[in-house]
Amino acid sequence: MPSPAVAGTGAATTAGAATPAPGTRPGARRWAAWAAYVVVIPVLLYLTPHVYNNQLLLLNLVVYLVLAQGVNVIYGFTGYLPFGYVGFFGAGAYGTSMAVIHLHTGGTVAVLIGAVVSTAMAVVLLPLLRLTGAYFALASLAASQAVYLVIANPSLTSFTKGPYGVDLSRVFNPNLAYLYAAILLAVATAVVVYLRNSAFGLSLRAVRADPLTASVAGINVARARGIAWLASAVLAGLAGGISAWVTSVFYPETVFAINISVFAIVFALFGGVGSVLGPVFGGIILYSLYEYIGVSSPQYFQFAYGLLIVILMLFLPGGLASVARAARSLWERTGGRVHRRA
Amino acid sequence: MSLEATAVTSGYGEMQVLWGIDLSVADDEAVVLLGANGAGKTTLLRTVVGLLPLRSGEIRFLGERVDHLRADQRVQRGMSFMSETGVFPDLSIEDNLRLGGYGLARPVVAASLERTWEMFPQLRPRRREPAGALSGGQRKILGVARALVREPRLLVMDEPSSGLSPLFVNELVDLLQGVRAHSSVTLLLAEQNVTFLGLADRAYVIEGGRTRFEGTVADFERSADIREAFFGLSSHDPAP
Repeated sequence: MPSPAVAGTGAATTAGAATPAPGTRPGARRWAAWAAYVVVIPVLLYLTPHVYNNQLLLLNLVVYLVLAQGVNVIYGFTGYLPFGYVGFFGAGAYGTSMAVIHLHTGGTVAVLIGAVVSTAMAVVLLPLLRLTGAYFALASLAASQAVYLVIANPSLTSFTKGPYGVDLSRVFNPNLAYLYAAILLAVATAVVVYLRNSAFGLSLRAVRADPLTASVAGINVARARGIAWLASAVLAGLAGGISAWVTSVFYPETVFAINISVFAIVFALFGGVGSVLGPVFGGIILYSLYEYIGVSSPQYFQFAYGLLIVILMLFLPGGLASVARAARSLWERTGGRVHRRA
Repeated sequence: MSLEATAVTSGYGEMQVLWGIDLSVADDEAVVLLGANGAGKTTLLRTVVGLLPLRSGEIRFLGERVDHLRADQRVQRGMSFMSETGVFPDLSIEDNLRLGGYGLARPVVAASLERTWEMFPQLRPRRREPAGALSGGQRKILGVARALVREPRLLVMDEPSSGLSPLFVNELVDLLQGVRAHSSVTLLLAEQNVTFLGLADRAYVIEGGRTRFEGTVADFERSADIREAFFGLSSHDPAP
């Protein structure tokens, strides 16, 4: 252990200070890469229907990718696992529907109103952040189901259409909705890029690691968590609104299905929470798998994805992204490239 | 007066730990709180920085009441706190230091980081490594460095010596002395280790949540009964 330099002795700037710092700040190239992730993947997905003509399936995929990024924001950066995440999705879907049915708005305005509704729900649920771990996960699930039961209540039929479902075919416009979905994915990815690179994102990671130490670093812990929570709710609300717009005719249980939470969580975990691209790749892989073989026997997939959550949490909490990182560092250490850290 | 705490009572849940402690720290002064495990030193510091609610009494910092403020607000006003653990082991050394300047303008943080690398050159080449890779002693150094990033008016440290070898304790004391000599930071430390008296102007001895002794370090050296009762130092031991 070298002796610590005493402050202000003047001789402090020796070896350490002279060492050039190898890329401490994300350089221009790194920023270009982030920008490419934000833009290229949504653009590719937006163009895919010209190659693979199943826009509805692709829209569902993009919506799930947005939800996976939303889970990434709240779970990856604050450690709160939202099993009730579908509540925001459903609130967005129903907010959108109510706007179309009662306010006679177009699709675009309706989706934005849906996001306002899901955000309002997140504000009401802010006190849940006082809970931690499994208690939070269960309480958020209970909250989402409570909202579902209110909306599906037959005595509210005149307002929510109760259990009989809504019909939005008046404003049906799948091409525009698909464009919005692609833009929303770009926004969601940009949010994660921001969290990965900003002082605010760093403060969230500090809060996740140790809230008390974070607060004495000058971080307003409740505010930081609250902002992440609201951001994830906005993403889910917009996704729910767009999904409702395209689905057009649906029932409360369609947009409040716990499956939606489970899928979003498992996609994010599988790809790697806390990373920018993990949830996107995790979602593309697992959702494709689900559509390819899972549709015929969905019950096995629910079981398999539930099991996958447990296995990932126990053995691979960093998901695919951590495997990729480990592979890269192994490659660098074993002569792929000589890269010695001082 | 940097810090003035009057008739402080505090505790955890049903357990009251502090029973009316008065504590004052003048500007540029260094004050050490001494006491055995469980005496209430940490509780007092946590109450001062806002990690524990004050039950009665008042706390003034730079002349203003701060006891209604959250910890982060007190930090923004110029307090800095280094807990026993002190750092985020999973975050990189540089990120730890950046967090020390959280809420400050970007250029201010950059300048502060540059100053920190000069002050602690051994940290610079390892800036990308997780703080958890550092030895216990180096983590303390990082903890001190992080607490200093925002150039606090008052630096509060809880047991900086815990887990350190005697050799490292001496180096830490030297480091803090250097910090004091070159900046106008007020220090408030809780310690069991009397080595830290060497850099203090005044000392408090806390026992059972009450102040047992308060005075200058010279007074402390003279009060043989306190020295013997609490630290097993006989009156002919040399001053620490």
